[in-house]
Parts: sequence; C-alpha cells; structure tokens
Amino acid sequence: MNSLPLISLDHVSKSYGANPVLRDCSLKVAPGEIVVVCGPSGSGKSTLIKTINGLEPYQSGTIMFEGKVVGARSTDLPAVRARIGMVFQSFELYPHMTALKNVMLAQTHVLKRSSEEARARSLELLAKVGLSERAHAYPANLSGGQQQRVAIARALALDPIAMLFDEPTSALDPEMINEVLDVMVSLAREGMTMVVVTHEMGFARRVASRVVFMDEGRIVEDRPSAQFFEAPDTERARAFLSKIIAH
Amino acid sequence: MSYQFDWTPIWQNRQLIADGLLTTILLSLAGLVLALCLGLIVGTLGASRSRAGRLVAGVFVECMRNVPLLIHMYFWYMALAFLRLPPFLCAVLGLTFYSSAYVAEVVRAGIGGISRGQTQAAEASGLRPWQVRLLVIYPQALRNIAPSLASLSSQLIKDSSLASVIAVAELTYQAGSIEGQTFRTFEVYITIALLYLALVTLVTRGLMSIPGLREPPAVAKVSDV
Repeated sequence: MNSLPLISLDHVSKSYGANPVLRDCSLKVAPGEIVVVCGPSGSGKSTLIKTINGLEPYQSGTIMFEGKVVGARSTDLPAVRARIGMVFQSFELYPHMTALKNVMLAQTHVLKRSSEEARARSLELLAKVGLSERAHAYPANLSGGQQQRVAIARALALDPIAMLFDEPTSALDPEMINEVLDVMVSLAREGMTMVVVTHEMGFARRVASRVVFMDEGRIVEDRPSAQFFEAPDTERARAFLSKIIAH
Repeated sequence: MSYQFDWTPIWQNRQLIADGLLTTILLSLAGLVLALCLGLIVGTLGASRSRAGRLVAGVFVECMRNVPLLIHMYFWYMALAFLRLPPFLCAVLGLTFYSSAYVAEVVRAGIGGISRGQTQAAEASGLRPWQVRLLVIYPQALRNIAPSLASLSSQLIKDSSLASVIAVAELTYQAGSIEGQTFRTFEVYITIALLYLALVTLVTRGLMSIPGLREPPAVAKVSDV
C-alpha cells in the first residue's frame, strides 16, 4: 500500500461485558481498495464493519477515517457518516416512504440539496441500479433484491467516498443474489473504496483486492485475494474455505 | 312505570348545556394537546439508550399513573391553593399529567416496536439523532400507535367530567346544576350522555381518518404494484 489509508483500525478491541467480540483488530484500507471480510458467524465481522462508521462503539484502540478519529468527542460523527455509505443485511429501507423518498431523504436533510436536485440525483441512481420504473413503489411492494438495490442507491446518494456492505446478500433468495452482486461489481469497477462482509467467495475472487478472515473476534488473515484463495495461511481459514466453496 | 318524561327544562337550559359542552371541548382539547406533547417527550426518554433517561421516565409514569385522577385535580386545586390557579387551569394540569403517563407508555412501546436497524440505517446516512427520530422513527411509530392514542383521547374526554368536582362549569357540572333546579334527572343525564357519546365518537373517528394513520401505506397503495 503506497497511498495513505482512508480507513485505518489500530489495535481495536471491544467486548460486551466479559464477552470479547473484537480482539486487537488492525486493518488499513487505501482509497480504491476492495476488502472482503469473511469468517464464521459470530466471528465479529459485522461488529468490525459497524465500528468504522461509529454504529458500534469500541473500547480500546483507534479507528480513523480520512484522518479523523471515529468516536472521539471532537469528531462530528454524523459528518463522518455522511461520507461513508452503508448497506445492511436486512435492507432497512424506510417502510413509510417510496423508493424515491428513501433515496432523497439524507440528500435533502444532510447535504441540504434542494428537493429538485435530490429528486434528479435519486432518479439517476435508481436508473443505475435498474429500478427507474419502481421509483414510486413502497418497500413492501418490492422484492428483496429490488429493496437491496434501492438501499445501495440510497447509500450512493450522498456521494460517499467509501461504502460498507454488511452481508448484503445473506437475506436474499438465491436468484436475487446476482442482481445485487452485479451492482456491487460495477461499483467496484468504478473505483469505489469498499469494505464488504460477505460469504460470496465468487464476488471476492472477481473484485476483492484483499480478503480478511476473522475468527473469534481476531483478524486471522489479511492477504491479497489471489493468495488467500490459492493457499490460506491458517488451518482455520482452509477449513472455512473448503466448507463454503464445496457447499 | 308511570314516569312522565318532560323535556322542556332541557330546552329552557340549552344555553347552559351548550356552555358546558364548549367548556368540555376546550378542557379536553387543552388536556389532549398537552398530554400528547408531554407524553411524547417522556415516552421518547423512556425508549432512549440513556439509563438515567429511562429511570426518570419510569418514575414519572409510575407517579402520575398510580394516583387517581381526582387526586391530581384536588392537588392543583386545593393542595396548591396558595397558587390561586383558576379551576379550569387546575383541571387542565390534572388531566395533562395523569394522561401523559398513559401516552408516554404507548409512545415508548411504539418506539420500541421499530427495529434497531432503522435507527442504524438512518444514523449511518449522517442524520442527526433528532432527525432520525423526527423523520424515520416517529412517523412509523405513530402509525402503529394511532389506535391506542385514539382510545386514550376518548378516555381523556370522559375523564374531563371529573373537573366538575373542582367547580369547572363543564358538561357534567352543568348537568348537576340543571338537575338540582328541575329534578328532571333522567332527561338531563340522557341528554348529557348522548352529547358525550357524540363528542367522543366524533373525535375518535376524526383522529383515525387522518390520512396515513389508518394503515401503513405499503398495504394501502395497491395502485403501485
């Protein structure tokens, strides 16, 4: 890595009571990098990704985004979050708003764009994810794949400089997974910095610059994806890979 | 039964009844608006992540809810007599504090019913905490609790009749005074009962017909499919 990291986690630990969820995690993500985080359930992947934009507090270590310390009193957390798009496993579209309004909301209330400007940008993004004709539908009337694509459009609406994906395809029927992955691949090709928690190893192989493997709250491996898939360092990762690819 | 109904005293006293009805409406309206505002604040506190906030809300709710409404009114009218508050204001304060506890509990449950993921998604997009509540949480919670709030409103209108004991000249008070002068007990209380029935029905129906409060839009708008 030559360029300065956009995201950096330095010896981050977190626990719920006596239960450690993150143990001494360090990770650097340079602009334009695509980092896939994988590991068995309960390994701390989701918690790790949520500490980056401060949705999960952490107890020790330092997390920096664009040189600002996430979670520090002096850091304006909402302002940091507005620079990072996030996509959730369960979509989390606002059910009382149409797809269009979902994409517009933060534009008008965080970026203070005029509603015409926000509407134009939203329609552009909905077209990009292939949902122009569903702009006025409510989330309950959209399929899971469509909801997730709206959620991606919503995250992109703030023109973020990095995107976090927390198991974006885990709640989807198999035939809808690809429509979401396709959007993510095209985003990756455009040079978006991405941290993706996923079990989609095909996606990781295609676009990831690095793969991070977690187990029991620790980052066990952090290697360029080609190397990771060829020969994982640890037995734990090897066992995980063979299970997930042979399924 | 040889009772002879005589409705003329009702008609003769129509002005008193109309005044009483108006006072009941004003009393209920003031109590309702204030109880909703206070209940929204306390309920939000009760659903917050702050332990101190939840404690304060819990103590408030228990203290207000577990004391009879009549005592609330006596408290403002008699215990705090040195304040010399007008009876109407005492009744409004009593109704507000008593009912706000119920509103707070409903609001707290309503907010609790919205998944944590909604808050996280809204926070992740850079919205500030008050914007998250105003734009994302309250609109959803309000839809879910609208029927409960409507029934609390009807309760509050009926509760306002207790203000008669602290000399607020509302509907029940006027009924008592007309009955005292004319002895037409049945006629008076049938009339009053019908007026309460009409008022409460109108208000609850009215509240539930506010657009968007009846059903979630996702279900209502079939045209979108």
